[in-house]
Amino acid sequence: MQHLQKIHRRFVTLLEVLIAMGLITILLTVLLGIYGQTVRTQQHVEQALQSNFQLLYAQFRLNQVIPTIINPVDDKDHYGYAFYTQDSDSLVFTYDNGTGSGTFFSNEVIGRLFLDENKRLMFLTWPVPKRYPDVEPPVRTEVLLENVDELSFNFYRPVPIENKRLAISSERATGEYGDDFDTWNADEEDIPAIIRIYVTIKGRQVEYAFLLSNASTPVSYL
Amino acid sequence: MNVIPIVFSILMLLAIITYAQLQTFVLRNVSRVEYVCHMANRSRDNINLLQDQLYQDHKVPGEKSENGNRVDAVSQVNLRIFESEPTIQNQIFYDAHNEIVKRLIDILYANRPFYQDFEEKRPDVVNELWREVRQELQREKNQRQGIKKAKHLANLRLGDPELQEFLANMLKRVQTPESLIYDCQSKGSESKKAVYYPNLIDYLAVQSSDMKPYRVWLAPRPLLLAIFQDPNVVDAIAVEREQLYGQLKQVPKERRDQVKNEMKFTFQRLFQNKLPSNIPEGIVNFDVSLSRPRN
Repeated sequence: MQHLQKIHRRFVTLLEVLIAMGLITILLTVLLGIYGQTVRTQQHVEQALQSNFQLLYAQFRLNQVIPTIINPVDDKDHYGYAFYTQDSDSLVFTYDNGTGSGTFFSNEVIGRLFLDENKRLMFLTWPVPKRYPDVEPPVRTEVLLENVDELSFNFYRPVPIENKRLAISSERATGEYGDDFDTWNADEEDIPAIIRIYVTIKGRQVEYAFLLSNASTPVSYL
Repeated sequence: MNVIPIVFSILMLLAIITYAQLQTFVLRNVSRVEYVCHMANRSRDNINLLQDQLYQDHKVPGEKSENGNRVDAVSQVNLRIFESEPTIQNQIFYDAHNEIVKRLIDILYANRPFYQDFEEKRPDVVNELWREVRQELQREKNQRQGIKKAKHLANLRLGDPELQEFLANMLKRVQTPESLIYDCQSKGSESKKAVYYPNLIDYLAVQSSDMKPYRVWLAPRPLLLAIFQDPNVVDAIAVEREQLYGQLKQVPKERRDQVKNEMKFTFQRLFQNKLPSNIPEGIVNFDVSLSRPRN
């Protein structure tokens, strides 16, 4: 009889199962709630980081390129250096790409920054055509940013001053202010001292600003 | 209460899943933070490199002595020499310059993996490359008055794609692996400065077509090594010119030209006879000046 009782006690009663299910339900509800919240937060963070990474990458790449823009007045060998805007959302310029990019893309190359029909901030590079008159110039394409609603530029040209350099200290700028432009004509034959690039992504405007040391009147911060 | 082990088992399972998720989340975010730090450092390195290049490109008038004479020697290899074939008169000097460049390439790149790979495949790769480069320089000269700056070596179109790749590898600015590891905990001035491998372009120049001698006073160490071919001699030159420079700075202006001449002869006496037999004596110049030697 005792033996039978022992065997009988090994079974799980309906009450115990109900209690277990109740406990599991409560724990699962709590845990899944927390887990779901974490996943949602992670998705938000993911989106924010993705967008910031894009912006960071664009800044990194533009930092490599824009400050090396070459002034068309320095085109002593008549290679056809350029600096101008097209349709206010496309900038064409010559820049120094360094010596490590192979025959066609080393040193002076032409770059074009523009917004394509798929709302992507594109950056194209091709060799200075006059250097290789006998070949079809190859073009290198890069996507810097996606989902861009708007791209615009601002160019600052200081008033030329005697020592050819406008000094800006933390307190105030010395010399006259100069002029701001939204577009730049090819016949200017100079480059601005400062370029600001405005990019609007999902209603948020991001500004990139660069000093161009090859401008006829460059700006230096003290 | 036999149900308790089941409840605990399920709880343990959930705990393990949650922990695994948390670990993945933490790892992903740590790698993101490192990436952001890396990108920020690379951006700063780019700005520093650009400023450094602007500084290097900024030419100032060469130093003239008090009597107005400029030292007629160079501290870089002049590419203009190779734009034409040697003549009977300059054959010896031409060959010497040619050998110096090839040795310089070997000194600068011998430890780099790409160089070792190419050398394994084509043992005579430096000779082959320099032969092609010379031909291209001559072609450029005939078609478009030659290249204007040493960096335009990168734009030459060589006939052999492998040699083209070899040249492109040589001219790339490559950061050393050690300086690529950033300490993301350090901030501002504490962070490491980017260090780049030496680049052939830094030792080349495009000047007048004359075969000017190399100025031992200002020549950088790899070039001196390519000329003298003995590291001990190069070390001794570095020590000597630093000492002479220190002494020259103390000399009053009115006596400086005379002291420079005396120093030049001392410098020349010490190292002229250290030149290897295959290098003609006239290929080096021992003039001393107030330009600080770069050791």
